[in-house]
Amino acid sequence: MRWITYAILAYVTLGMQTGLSAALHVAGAGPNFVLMSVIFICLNAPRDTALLGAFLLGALQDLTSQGTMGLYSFSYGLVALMVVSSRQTIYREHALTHFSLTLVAGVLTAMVLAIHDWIRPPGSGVRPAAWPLFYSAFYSALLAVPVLGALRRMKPFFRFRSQQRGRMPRMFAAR
Amino acid sequence: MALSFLSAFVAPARLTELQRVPLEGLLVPISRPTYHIATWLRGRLVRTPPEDSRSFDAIRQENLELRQEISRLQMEVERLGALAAERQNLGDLKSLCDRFPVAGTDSGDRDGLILSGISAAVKEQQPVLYGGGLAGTVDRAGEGVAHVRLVTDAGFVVSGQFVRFVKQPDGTVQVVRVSQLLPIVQGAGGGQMVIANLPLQDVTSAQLQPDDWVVLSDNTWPAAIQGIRVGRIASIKRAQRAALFAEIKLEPESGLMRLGDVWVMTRNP
Repeated sequence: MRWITYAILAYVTLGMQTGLSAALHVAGAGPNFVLMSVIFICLNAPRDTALLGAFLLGALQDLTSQGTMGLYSFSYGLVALMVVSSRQTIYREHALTHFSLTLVAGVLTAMVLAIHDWIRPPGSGVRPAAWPLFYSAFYSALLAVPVLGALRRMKPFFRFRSQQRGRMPRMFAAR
Repeated sequence: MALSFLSAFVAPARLTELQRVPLEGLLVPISRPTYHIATWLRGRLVRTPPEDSRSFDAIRQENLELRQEISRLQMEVERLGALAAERQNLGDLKSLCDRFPVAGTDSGDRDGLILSGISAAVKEQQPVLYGGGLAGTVDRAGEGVAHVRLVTDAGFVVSGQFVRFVKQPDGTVQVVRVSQLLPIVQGAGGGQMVIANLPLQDVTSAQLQPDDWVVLSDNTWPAAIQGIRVGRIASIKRAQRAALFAEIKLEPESGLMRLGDVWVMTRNP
């Protein structure tokens, strides 16, 4: 994977997350653009690169958020493990795949966040409602269809697979 | 991943919160225009009146209802007069505050704002105000950017008192303290606050009502902003987890996550 392109994706995604998420709130839930990028990376990058890329996106979201450090990086790590292990059995380019994967990943992230709030509440006697997190998962899954569809067109810029892969080495090529 | 798990679930917060770098500043070129465009668009979409395609009867009925509404609004005008006076008070506070544009919101699931173009005078724990009252405090600041923790963020704690606007016999409207109860306001996330420390019996006998205000009354905050509005009562009901206590939900005047700019109190009188 070309890491410069990855860095640009991370930058734009986090910028959109901080700039757009609150304005797009519906019923107390906003979309998670970073999660969509995690799904995109995990669907296309080689296994180890995907795990590292998802973890770094989570770490960056942790750093730009007010929440506990490590929460999103752990969640996206789990998401990456799930997507990477299941991607051989799915059709990666299909919109339904994007929707369902983002939904499952969003629910997984919501569960981690909800369990964290339950174990370590942010204030004494205060436990934020968990349902906005699950609404957010569904909302993100809906938006993932056009967003991942657009990202799919940018796949060549990421060079997820080496250009030489599958080609005959030059020394054996017919002259 | 093991490290992130330990950081999130095991390690004490004081270890992981140390000197977090304000990376939000790097995102401002993207987040600020998108935030303002999206907020503007949302405002435009919400305010746009739908084209009136109703029948004359429906409009006549509405006129009748509006006449009744006028009498209610006359009372409301008086209340808003008091609100204007409060805003004038905020105007006096301007000499102690600096105004900064909002460049985005918290990237996680917390209630927070990102301020851009901040000066060196902005420090952690300084109060942040808006036209409707108290918005929160500066959570971390540096590198031209600051993160504001909003009063609605889960776990934010502030104490206050209940007040109500009452029309006096001479026609003026005065702010009256409703009871001697000392509410502790806690952020509940999702743009709401909650008071859960008051016995239901005391709340009932105090005759608190929706639309009463809670204003700041907390010695740990600067004296200049004591009495500034924290929120208004949205609902009062019996707490689900503690049947003898009341659960009073508060709401800020407007959506704090969609503010265009805020005032940071950088100077003390």
